Amino acid sequence: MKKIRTNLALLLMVASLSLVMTNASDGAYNNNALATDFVPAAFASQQQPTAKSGVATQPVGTPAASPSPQSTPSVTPSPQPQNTEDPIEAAKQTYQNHSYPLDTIPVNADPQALDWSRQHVTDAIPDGMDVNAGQTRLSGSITLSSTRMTNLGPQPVLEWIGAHVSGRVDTLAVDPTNSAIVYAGTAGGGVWKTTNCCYTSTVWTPPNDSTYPLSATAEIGALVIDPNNHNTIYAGTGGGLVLQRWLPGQPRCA
Amino acid sequence: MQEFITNSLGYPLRISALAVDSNNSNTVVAGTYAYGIGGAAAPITTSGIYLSANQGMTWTHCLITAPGMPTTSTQWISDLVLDNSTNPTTIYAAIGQSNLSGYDNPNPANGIYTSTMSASPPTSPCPAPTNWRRILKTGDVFGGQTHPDFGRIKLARYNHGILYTIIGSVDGGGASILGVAQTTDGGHSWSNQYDPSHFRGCSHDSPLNPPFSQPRLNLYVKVDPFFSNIVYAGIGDLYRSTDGGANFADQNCLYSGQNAIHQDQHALAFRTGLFVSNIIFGNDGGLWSLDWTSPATLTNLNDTFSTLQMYAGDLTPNFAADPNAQALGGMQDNGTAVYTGQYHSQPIPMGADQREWTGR
Repeated sequence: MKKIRTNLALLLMVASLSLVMTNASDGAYNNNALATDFVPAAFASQQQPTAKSGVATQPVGTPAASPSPQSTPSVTPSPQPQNTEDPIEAAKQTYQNHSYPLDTIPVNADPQALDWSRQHVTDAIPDGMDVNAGQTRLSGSITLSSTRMTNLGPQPVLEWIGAHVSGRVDTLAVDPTNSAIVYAGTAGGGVWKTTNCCYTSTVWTPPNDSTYPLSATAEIGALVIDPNNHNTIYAGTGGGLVLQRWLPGQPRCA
Repeated sequence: MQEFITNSLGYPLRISALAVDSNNSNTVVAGTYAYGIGGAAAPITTSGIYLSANQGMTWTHCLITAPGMPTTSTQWISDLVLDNSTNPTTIYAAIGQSNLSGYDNPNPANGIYTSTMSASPPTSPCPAPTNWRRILKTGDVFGGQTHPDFGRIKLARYNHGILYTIIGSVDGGGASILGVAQTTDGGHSWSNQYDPSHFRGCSHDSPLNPPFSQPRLNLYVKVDPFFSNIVYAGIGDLYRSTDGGANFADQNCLYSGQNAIHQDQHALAFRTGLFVSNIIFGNDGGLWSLDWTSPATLTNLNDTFSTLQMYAGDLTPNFAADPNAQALGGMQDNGTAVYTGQYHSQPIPMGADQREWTGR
C-alpha cells in the first residue's frame, strides 16, 4: 500500500468486502523534541521561583556545574519531592528545583545538564501521564486497563425524530447480481456492507482490512460497482459535499 | 484491496463521482474537485475529470474543452454519468461549483458538458478535445427564468437520450434550488423545466417556494430504472415525482406527524427485481429503506450502522475513576451524545451540528 499523501485516493475493493472497524490507537506517545524552554505547560502557570530548603541553587545553565548523565553530580542535588503521594506535585517540585532561581529551565542550558534535569522531571511523572498536551509529550506508553475502558461506539443514537440515527451517508451502491448486498459510503467511517438488505434485521459490517485503515476511517464521496464484475468496487475518498467555510454573521446550519 | 494515489499536486482533491464504462471495464472515470490554498480557487490543473484506462492503476487529468466555455475556470466536477448505449460510451459531466470561500459569484464554467469517450483509452485516455459540447450553462433560461447563478449540479440517466438534472443556486445561504429539468435528446434541448414551486410539502395544499434544500450540501436527482417518469429529488427532504418531474411530493408526508426521515438527503439507490422493490436512501441520520409494496413501508436500517461522525468530544474530570463520569460527543447533525454508562442522545441545545464540546 502506498502512503496517502493527498485527499484523493481510490480504494479498489476486490471480492467479498468484509469490513470491520479497526482500532488504530496504540496508546503510545511520541517523544517530541523540545523547541522552547523546557517547561511542561501544566507546570508553567503555577511556578513560583522560591527557594527550597535543603536544595542547592545552582542554575542548570552553569557549565561548571553541569552534571554528567553517567555520574552523580556533586554540586547539583537530587530531586527532593515534598509530597510523594501526589506525583504531579513531586514532578513540579523537581522541575522547580532544577530551574531555580529561574522560572524555567533555559533551552540553551548546557545540554548535558538539560538532559539530566529533563530525565529527573520525567522520572517523577507516572508513565503515560500527559502533562503538556500543547507542547511536550513524554516518552513511554500508556497501559490502559481493559476493566476501566469501555467502547462507547459511536453507536446509533435515539434522536428527537423518534428513531435510531447514525452518521451521514454520502453514497450507496447495490450489487447488480444480488440486491440484498448493499454498500454504503459514510462521512466518517469508510465503506460498510450488508448482505441482508433491507429489513429491520439488516446487519451492517464495517471494514476490517487493517492493512488499509483508510477504508475504515475515510470520508467516502463516491462508490461504484464494476457492471461487468460485481466483486470489484471502487470507492472515492474526500466526500461528495461542498463544504462551507463559515463566515462571521452567517447562520450555521447542517 | 488496492489503493491508488492519483494526485500529488498539493491540493486537497476530493472525489464527487465515479463511473465504470460497461463497454470496457478497464475504463474508470472520476469526477473531482479541490479547494485552493487560503480560500482561493484551486488551479485549473487540479480539479476535473480523471480517467483511468487500467482499472485505476494510473490516471490522466482530462480537461473539458467545449467551445465557448471559459478556459481559465476551475473544473469543479459535481457529478458525471455514462451512457453505455453508445460505443464509444458517452460521458455527461456537470461542473457545479457552489459558493467558495463565501463569495456568491458563480463559476462561469458551471454547466453540463458531454462528449464521447476515447475510442482507444490505453493510448489516448481522454475524450478528443473537439468532441466536447456544452449542453446547459449558467445563465441559460431555466424554469422560465434566466438564472445566472447555477451552483451545484447533479445528474441522472434513464436511457440513451433521457436525463434529468437538478440545479442548486450559488447563493450565500445555499438555501434554494433552481429546479429540475429533463432532456429526451441527450441534452440538445431541455424540457419540463420546473422551478421550486413544483415541490410540495407535507400539507399537499400549498407549494413551498422554495423548499428547504441547502444544495451545496444536500442535492441529488435519481430516476427509476424502469419508469422514466418516476423521479426522486433529494434535498432537505426526500421528494418523489411520478410525472417526469412536473410535481414533486415530500415523502415525509407518508409518515406525517412521525417525522421519521432525517433531514438532508445525500444518496439513493434502487433495489430491483422485476421492478424496483424498494429504495434505500442515505442522509445525515444514516440509512432508511422505502418498500413500495402496498402499503408503503419505511424501515430504519441504522440499528447496526455505527457511523456517527464526531466533530468534537470531551471527558468530565477524573473520567477514569469517577463513577459518575461522562463522555460527551458533538456530532454532525445528530446533536450531542452523552455517555453516562448508557449511551444515549441528549436534547439539542444549539442546533444539530455540535462542533465544540467540553465536559469541564
